[in-house]
Amino acid sequence: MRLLAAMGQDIRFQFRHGFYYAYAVLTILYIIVLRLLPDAMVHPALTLILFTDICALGFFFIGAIILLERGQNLTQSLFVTPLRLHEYLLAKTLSFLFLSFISALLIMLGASVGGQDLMWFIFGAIISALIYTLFGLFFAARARHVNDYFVKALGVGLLISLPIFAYLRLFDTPIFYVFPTRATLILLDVLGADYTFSEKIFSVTSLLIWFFLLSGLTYQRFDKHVRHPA
Amino acid sequence: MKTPVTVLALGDLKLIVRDSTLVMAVFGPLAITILLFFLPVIESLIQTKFSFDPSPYRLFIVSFLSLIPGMLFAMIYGFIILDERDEDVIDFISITPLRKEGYLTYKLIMPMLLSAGFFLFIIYATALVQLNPIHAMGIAIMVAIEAAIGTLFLVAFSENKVEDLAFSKLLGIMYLAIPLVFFWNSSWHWLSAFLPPFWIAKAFVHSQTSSIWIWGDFFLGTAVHLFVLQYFLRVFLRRQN
Repeated sequence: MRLLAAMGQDIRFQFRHGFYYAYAVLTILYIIVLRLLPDAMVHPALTLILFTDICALGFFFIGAIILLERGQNLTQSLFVTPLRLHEYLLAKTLSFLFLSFISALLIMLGASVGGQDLMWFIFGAIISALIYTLFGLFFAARARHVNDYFVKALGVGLLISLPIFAYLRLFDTPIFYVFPTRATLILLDVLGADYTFSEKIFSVTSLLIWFFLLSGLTYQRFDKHVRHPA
Repeated sequence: MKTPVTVLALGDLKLIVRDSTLVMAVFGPLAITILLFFLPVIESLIQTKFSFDPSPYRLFIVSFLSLIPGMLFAMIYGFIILDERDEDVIDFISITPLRKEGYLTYKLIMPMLLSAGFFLFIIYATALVQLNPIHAMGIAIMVAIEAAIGTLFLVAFSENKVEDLAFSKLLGIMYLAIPLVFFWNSSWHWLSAFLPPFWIAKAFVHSQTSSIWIWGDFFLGTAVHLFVLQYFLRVFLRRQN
C-alpha cells in the first residue's frame, strides 16, 4: 500500500514536470519515423530508439529528481515516515518503468511491430529500464549537482554502451558479454533478428545478475549517503 | 577595476569548474570533434564490412554533429541560469547597474560565442567538408543565435532543473529539420522551415552546390532565428516578472 502511494506520488510528480507531455510528443515522432522507414530498417531503428531513449529515460531524469528532493530536504523528512528505503527506491524505478512501458507499447502498436519472440523482448525491455534507473540512482546518491551527476554517470554510461559497436557489426570482443548492454541489445533485437536459445538465456541471466547487483549496491549507497548522511 | 562582465565571467568560471560542468562542456564538443576526425576510418570500415558507401551522407553527418555543441552549451547555461534564479541572484543583479537585461545579455552571449567558436573549430579542424569562409561565418552566426534560442527555451518554460531536462528532450526535436532537409525529397520538407536548424541545413547544401540561394538562406534563416529568439525572450521576461 505504501509502495503504491509512493509510486502514485512519483508518477504525479513526473506528470507535473512535463515528462508525460514530452514523451507523448516523442512517441508520436518515433512512430512517424518508424512508419516512414523501409521495412528492413524498422527493427534496428526500434532497437536503437528503445536502447538510447525509451528504456533509458529513468537514467536521464533520476539524477535531477534525487538532487531536487535532497535540495528540498525531502528525503530526510521522508525517512522519518514509515516509508522504507527499499519502497522509496522501488517507487522511483517502477514509476519510470511505467512511463517507459507505455511509451514502448504505443511505439510498437503505432509501428505495427511484433513477432514470436515477444516475451523475450518484453522481459528485456522491462529489466533494462529497471537497470537503467538503478544505474542512475547509484550515481545520484552521491552527486553534488546535476552536472556532476551527468559527468559521472555519462562517463561510465558511455563506457558500458560500447557493445553498440557489436550491435552495429563494426567491432566485437568477448569482453562485451560482461556488459549488461550487450544482453539488453540482444533481447531488444530478438523481434528483428535470429538469436540462439543459449544467447537469449545468457542475456536474461546476465540482466538478472546485473539487476540484483545494482539493487544491492544502490540500496547500500542510499542508506549511507542519503538516509544516514554524515 | 573589474567590469561587471569580468565579475560575471569569473563567477561562471568558478561555477563551471566547481560542479564538473567544465568536464561536460569540454568533453562533449571534444568527443564530437574526435568522432569526426575518425569519420573517414568509420566510413571505410562500413564500406568494407557492408559493401555500402556512406560517403554521400558525410555532409549530413557533419552538419548535424556540428550543431550538437550549441545544444550542449544551451543546456549548460540553462542550468546556470536556473541555479541563479533559484538562489535569487537574478533579483539581486536587477537592482545593480548591470540590471536584468545586462545579466541576460551576458548569459546569452557566452553560449553564442562558444557555439560559434566550436562550430568553426569542428569545420576547419576536421576539414571533412570544404566550406567557403564567408559561408561558414554566415552559418556560424545562425549557430550562435540557435544556442541562445536553446538556452532561452529551456529557462523560459522550466521551473527547475527537472523540467529543464524534460524540455531539453523537446529541444532535440528542433534538430529533426536537418534530416528532413537532407532526406525528404519533396517540397513538403518546407513545412519544417519554421525550425531554425532547417536554414542551417539548407545553407550547408547550397554552399556545397555553390548555389546563389545561400544568400536567401542567410537572410531568411537569420530572420527566423531572430524571430524565435525574440519570442522566447519575451516569454522568459514575462515569466521572470
